Amino acid sequence: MFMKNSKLLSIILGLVLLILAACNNNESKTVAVSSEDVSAFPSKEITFVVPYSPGGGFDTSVRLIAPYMEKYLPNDGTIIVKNAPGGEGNVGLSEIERAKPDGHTIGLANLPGHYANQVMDTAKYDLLNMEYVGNITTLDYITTLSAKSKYKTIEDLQNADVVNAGVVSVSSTDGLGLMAFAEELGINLNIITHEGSSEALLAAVRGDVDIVQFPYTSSVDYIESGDLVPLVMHSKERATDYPDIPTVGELGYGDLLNVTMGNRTIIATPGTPNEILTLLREAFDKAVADPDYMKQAEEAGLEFNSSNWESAEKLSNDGYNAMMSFKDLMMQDK
Amino acid sequence: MLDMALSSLAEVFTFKSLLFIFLGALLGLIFGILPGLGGPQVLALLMPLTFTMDSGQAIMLLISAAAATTFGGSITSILINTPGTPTNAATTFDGYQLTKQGRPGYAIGAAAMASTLGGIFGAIILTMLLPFGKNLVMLFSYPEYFMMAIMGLAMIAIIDKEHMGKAIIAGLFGLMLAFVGLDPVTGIERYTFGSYYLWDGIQLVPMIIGLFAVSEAVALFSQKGTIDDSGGNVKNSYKDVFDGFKSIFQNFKLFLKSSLIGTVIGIIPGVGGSVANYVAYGQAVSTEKNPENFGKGDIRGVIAPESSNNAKDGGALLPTLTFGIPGSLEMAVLLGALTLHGIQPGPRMLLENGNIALLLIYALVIGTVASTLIGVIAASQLTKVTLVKTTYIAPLILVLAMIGAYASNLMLADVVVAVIFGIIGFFMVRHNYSRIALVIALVLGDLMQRSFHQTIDSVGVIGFFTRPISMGLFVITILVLILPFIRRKRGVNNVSS
Repeated sequence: MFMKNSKLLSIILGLVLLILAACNNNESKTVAVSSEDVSAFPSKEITFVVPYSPGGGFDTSVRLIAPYMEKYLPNDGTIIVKNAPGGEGNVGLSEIERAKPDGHTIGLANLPGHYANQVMDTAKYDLLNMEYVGNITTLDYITTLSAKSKYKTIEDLQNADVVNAGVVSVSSTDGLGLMAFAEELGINLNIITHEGSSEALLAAVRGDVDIVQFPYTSSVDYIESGDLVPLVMHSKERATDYPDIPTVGELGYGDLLNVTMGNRTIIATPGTPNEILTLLREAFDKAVADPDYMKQAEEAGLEFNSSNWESAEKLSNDGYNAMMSFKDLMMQDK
Repeated sequence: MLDMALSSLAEVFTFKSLLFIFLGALLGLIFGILPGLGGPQVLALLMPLTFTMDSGQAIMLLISAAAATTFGGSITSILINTPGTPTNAATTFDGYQLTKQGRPGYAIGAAAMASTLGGIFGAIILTMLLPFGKNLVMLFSYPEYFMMAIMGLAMIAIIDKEHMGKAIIAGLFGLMLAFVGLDPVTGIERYTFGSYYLWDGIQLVPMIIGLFAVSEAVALFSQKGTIDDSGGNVKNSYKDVFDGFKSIFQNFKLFLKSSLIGTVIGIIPGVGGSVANYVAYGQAVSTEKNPENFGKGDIRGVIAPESSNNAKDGGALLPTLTFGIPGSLEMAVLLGALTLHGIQPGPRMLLENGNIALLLIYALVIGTVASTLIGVIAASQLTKVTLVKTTYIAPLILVLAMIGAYASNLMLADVVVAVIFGIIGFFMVRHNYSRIALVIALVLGDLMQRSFHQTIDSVGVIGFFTRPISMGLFVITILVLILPFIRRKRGVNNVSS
């Protein structure tokens, strides 16, 4: 009787170990690779660190591009996606920063959103130091009003005593962007935080908050259904489906764009040799140009506007400067 | 809608689809049984495999895996007093007592039938409500979330009557722990002691592993003999499992009530299964006859939580499908997978991909049935675990617990949390403090704080009492709290007269 049980249990245990082996073989850092040995790169799996839980938009876009980057890496390289959520990005981003600079650890950053920690002195990482591989996509944001709100125009908002605003947090891209927007336009906000963007959008649909500011792609369904009314587009050009909605630049606040945007940027450990970075950057550039990838990205509803590492680095620096200019606004609730 | 329903149904009943559902159920069951691993992990593991499948089959594989974890978790609750997932916590109360009395098959049979029928119940309600899903989800706002949290917390006071004071202390301790981490409203760090691991608060999964698996392993070490207390008199026949099946029909009213509770709680985004099973158990204790039997191996104590936690899946799909709001982490992963297949859950999904929504519901039902079948067959073997000397089992549980704590996030800090709560849990058991009260308070603490602030900030304190649903939940909470006293008083009167 006992034999049978121990057999069963050892099967279960074996399964656990198997699963662990499957998801954990990226942990070993014992393989010594000479950093000059570019021809052998990658000599083991590349870990792609996502500082978010599985399932969200950031995670999804990484899981989408990883197989295509793999395809264009030399030496049959493989990429393993690892979720390291927590500490508003501190857990995942500091892991990327502290990894061995041999190109076997890359990761995703949300720019300029992840600069919020740096501006408020709560960051355990420095994104200005990171190496840049490329920018998967830039999300445009849109300011919308609840259809049930008594405010219909920007003037209504400016004349109101207080406007209920639905945000994820005061340091998230949507929250910060909306506060900066309101500050510039002279709107008095009452901030109500939510668990996530879907919850905040739902609150606006219910009419519990008046104003929200989220990526165009996640707002557009509610605009179409008539639950949300578009107000201002945060992009360089007007949205093709809503040509009547002005951009924030046309209103005279173009600088806000550097705060209110979401770049899903691929970064690498500081000090990664240039030759290896070149391999990664080339793999990225080819991946985003792959017709299969483009088709899948389009199906998944991603805005297709990737850019190479140089512009990613520039976006990053501009984002930092823009965030710094709103430091006082960010610190007022602390 | 009807022709759509039929064509979706036809798509489910093909050989390939059924194979995927069965495979998903098998994997989900294994992940459910292992502590620390659950729906999110099995879905993340399967997701890359679905890239090459068509969207329908991918969904069937994923949803059946997610559905199976819930029942898998009940098996360990019953056999070794360790909930495999947070949604099985309340099953330990009576399930483990039944195991000790030599009737694990009976408890597993009841859990299996409750899960299956609960899952079907939830799916039927979901199908009926889907056309009005949007309006229904919108009925619940900040004050309702808050009252739901209060209702869950109130259950702490009635579930463990013998040690009510201690249960309340455990609950308050849980609320204190819920304050650790970034303030949900202002983002200010609270009790983080310079560790950014603590920014996100005490993690639920390693805490449960510690409180239950680790402390149970320690307790088993110090206990001679086997888990089974009946002197090897285990009824190890399929007849006992079958009796478990039958017990649902003998308590059908309880099953219906519990499933309804599960479905309704599922609809409210952000509340979820860990609360549903607890509230359903509390409801059983306060409304069923002979409440003193609960906690001593009463089969009704297995039926209530297990039917509610599967019925909750149907309810939880409502906000997921209509607003793209994940009711739980596994739903979040599922949403990610759907997006990759070009399906955007949200207001447009029902119009454009209505067949996918139906497919999801059917897969949920068949996945639950498949997992129950596999589970019952495996369970008759698994029950033999209770006859192995505890000194052999304890180290195994300990190893699995440590691996499980690490595997959920690949973070060593999680293992530390598991060990600390293992020690806390051991002493809580020894001194009769309810561990589940601690877990429930931690789960609800965040929801309670956030929804309280949201209510105050948006409509003010009056909002709690001017909205009919919020007020209704408040009244129910009060009733649930005083009902046991009324019944006791009546019982006393009957005896004296």
